[in-house]
Amino acid sequence: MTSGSEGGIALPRSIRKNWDLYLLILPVVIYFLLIKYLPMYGIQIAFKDFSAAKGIWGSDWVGMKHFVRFFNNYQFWTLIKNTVGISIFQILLAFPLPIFFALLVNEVRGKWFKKSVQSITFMPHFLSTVVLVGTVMAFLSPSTGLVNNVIRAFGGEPIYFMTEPGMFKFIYVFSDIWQNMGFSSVLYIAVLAGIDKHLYEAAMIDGASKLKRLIHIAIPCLIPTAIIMLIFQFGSIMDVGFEKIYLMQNDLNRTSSSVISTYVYEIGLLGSQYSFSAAVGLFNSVINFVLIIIVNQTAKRVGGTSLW
Amino acid sequence: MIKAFSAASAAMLLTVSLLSACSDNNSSSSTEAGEATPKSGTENAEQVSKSGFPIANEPISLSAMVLLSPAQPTEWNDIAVWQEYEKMTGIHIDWDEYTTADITEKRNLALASNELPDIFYRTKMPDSDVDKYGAQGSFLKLNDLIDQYAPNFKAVMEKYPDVKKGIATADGSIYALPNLTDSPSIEITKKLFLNQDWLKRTGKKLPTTTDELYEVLKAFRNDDPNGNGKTDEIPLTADSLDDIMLVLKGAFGLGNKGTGNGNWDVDPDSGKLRFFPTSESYKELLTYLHKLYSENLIDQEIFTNSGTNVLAKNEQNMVGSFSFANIVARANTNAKDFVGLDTALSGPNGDHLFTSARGHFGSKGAFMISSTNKHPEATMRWIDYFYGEEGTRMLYLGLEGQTYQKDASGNYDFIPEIVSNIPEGSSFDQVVSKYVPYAGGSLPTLLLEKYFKGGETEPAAKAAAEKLGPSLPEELWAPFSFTSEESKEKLSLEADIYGYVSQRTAEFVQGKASLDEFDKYVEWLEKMGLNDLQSIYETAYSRYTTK
Repeated sequence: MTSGSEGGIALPRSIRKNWDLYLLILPVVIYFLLIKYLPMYGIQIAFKDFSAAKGIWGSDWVGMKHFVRFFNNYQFWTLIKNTVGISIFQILLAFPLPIFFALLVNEVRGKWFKKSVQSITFMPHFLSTVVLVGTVMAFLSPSTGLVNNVIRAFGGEPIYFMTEPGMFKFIYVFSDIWQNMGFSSVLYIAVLAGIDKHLYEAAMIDGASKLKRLIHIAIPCLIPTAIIMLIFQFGSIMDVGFEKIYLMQNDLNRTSSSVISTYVYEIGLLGSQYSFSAAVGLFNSVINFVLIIIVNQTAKRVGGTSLW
Repeated sequence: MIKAFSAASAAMLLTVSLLSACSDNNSSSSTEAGEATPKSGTENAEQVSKSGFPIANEPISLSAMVLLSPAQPTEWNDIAVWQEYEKMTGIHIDWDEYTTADITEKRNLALASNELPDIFYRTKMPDSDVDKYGAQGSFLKLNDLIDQYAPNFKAVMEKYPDVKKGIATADGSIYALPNLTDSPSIEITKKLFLNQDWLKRTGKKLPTTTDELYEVLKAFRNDDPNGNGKTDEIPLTADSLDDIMLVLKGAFGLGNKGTGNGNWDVDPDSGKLRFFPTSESYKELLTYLHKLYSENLIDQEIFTNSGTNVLAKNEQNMVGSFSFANIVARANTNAKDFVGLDTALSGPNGDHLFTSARGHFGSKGAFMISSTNKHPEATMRWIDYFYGEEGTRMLYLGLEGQTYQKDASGNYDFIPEIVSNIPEGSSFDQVVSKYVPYAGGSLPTLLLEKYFKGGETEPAAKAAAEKLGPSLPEELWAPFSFTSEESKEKLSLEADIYGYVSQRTAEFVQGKASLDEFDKYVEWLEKMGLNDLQSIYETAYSRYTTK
């Protein structure tokens, strides 16, 4: 980064000198301006009473009205609790598993076996959410589902999984692990494959066991990547996947399945209360933003790794 | 250097394609808007004939948004009736077809961005949006146009008082033409159908009270009426819990003005408007339903059920009774087993009423003319035809001689060549949808029973409706109208309140919440602003009654 004072003259010259590099980055800059920054002017409707006829600029300002309404909403704490709860649960379970899985795969010697394990765990990632939720519901159906048939075979009472609010979190996270563990582990497997073979050889000469090599070479090499991934996860803690939750939702599990994104959809797009849903969305983004900064700073101080 | 150059040119290419993608979008939307604007409005009024066909002396093209039924061809202009009507009127319609999954989003986007099609034709427009966007000026006010260019619709308004009461917004403006019906079997929206084969096997008669229904369902559960030696019978099912409640709530005196205004009716004691999910009778209904559910008499999967599930369970002969508008859409091979009630069920307090019924309004906002439409007069004449008998016949049966005929006794039906050989794997609706556009329902028209060949007018469903007829409420409300101020507040209250009602209702029926908590639930609803909502409805109600 050049400092502000010399920027005025130095910058154009550096552009002239490296014009091809700047040209190379131009599409990205344009993309971000058009797709990410330009639409931000619409955020103002969170502070207005949006009316289609008056347009975004012309609508009347109402201050924090929509935010106050959201904070006073009877569902407010339920929404926050569910959103954060599902996210944390997801991070606790679904985050370490791919790392663990990558370490296991890395130790496998048979090439053919290794590749097939990877492919099989990789594949569910390409199922669409609708298909996944349909499959989960079919498996968990109290009358015809496989799981309940097994329970019945052992003399148990069938459990109605989908309408049990307490089960929602588990079904959500475990089906997510089933679907995405293989895919998420690809990154870690790549990191492990990139570790310098000399490290292992040196360790072996020193007499380090397999476990020692794992603890002192593989895991330390993974940690920086893992931390970056963790920061990303925290940055989206308030955005649990809308589509999947919406598809899994019904009146009986609503107490634990209403999250901010489904609420915004119901109120905003279906109920066409755009200003209110914009306010809720903005609130969501602000929390995410603050969280990602906190986690990043913590990671920097504790582990020396950070996004920026 | 060569490397750098090629990288740069690749970057260029990317940029250019990105930019052109953007400008592509812009240009297409601007031509869409431009296409329909060859002349100004006033000039055109003179070129539109006041009666007879063609409507326009010079060809006119209009753009329209429409909901596509899965049974229909994806190009609406492939439907024979539209081709013929274009020839008759000289008006070409550019249909923009959207599926059920997309229509709400596309419609809201069009309205929010103010890039309107000339016509909204069956777009599932909610009543509140008709009032709101009408007041904001997105839709044309139709009062004068109806007066001058819509003789058929004017006659309809005179004939049906509830249509006249329900059509205008709070200040008397009309922004939309409705979907109307004159057919008891369609207006009785949900009916209870019982498996008469199972009744015979269990030695039971058609129930006449809720207690008898309970006994019948118990027999269905215990006596293995499908004879497979397993207790896999589902005594009562439906697409959703709502559908079951619709056919039972009349027996508890709920919904005594029909379904026109959802869960609002009139308190029989005080004569005041009432939100019945907080009433004692509602609690009794919930108690009854909870008894059925906890004894496995209601489908245990009712909370996650769907139409296809009901159909599948019927295919396996597992269903004792179900609630739906007709039989054939929910039962296939065993459709003949099912029969409607002989009379409406009487409830524990002697209520003998069937309230899953509406007035002549199917939906209020079936057809809207945008304020950007350059040919409002021609558009009004174009749609008015379908509120007359000839036009309705055309929508539902197509063209005389080509797709339908009249038999000696005066009955209309499709000609045999079209409907007698339905190919394997396609439905009746799919076959006739090549000729007529009615599949999916809710068209802006006045549907007459004699022209409609669907599940609701099949003999069994029609007979069921006829038997329920005497037990219908005396007055069936049309949906109330609200001012834009009222409807804004109403919408935000309703979203939370109705959501909470359906959540708690499900919990009470399933037993997760005990009915001892009913008072707490009512209290909570009041905290959520039920009283404010009540006063909004009361204002609208008093406007409705004085109209």
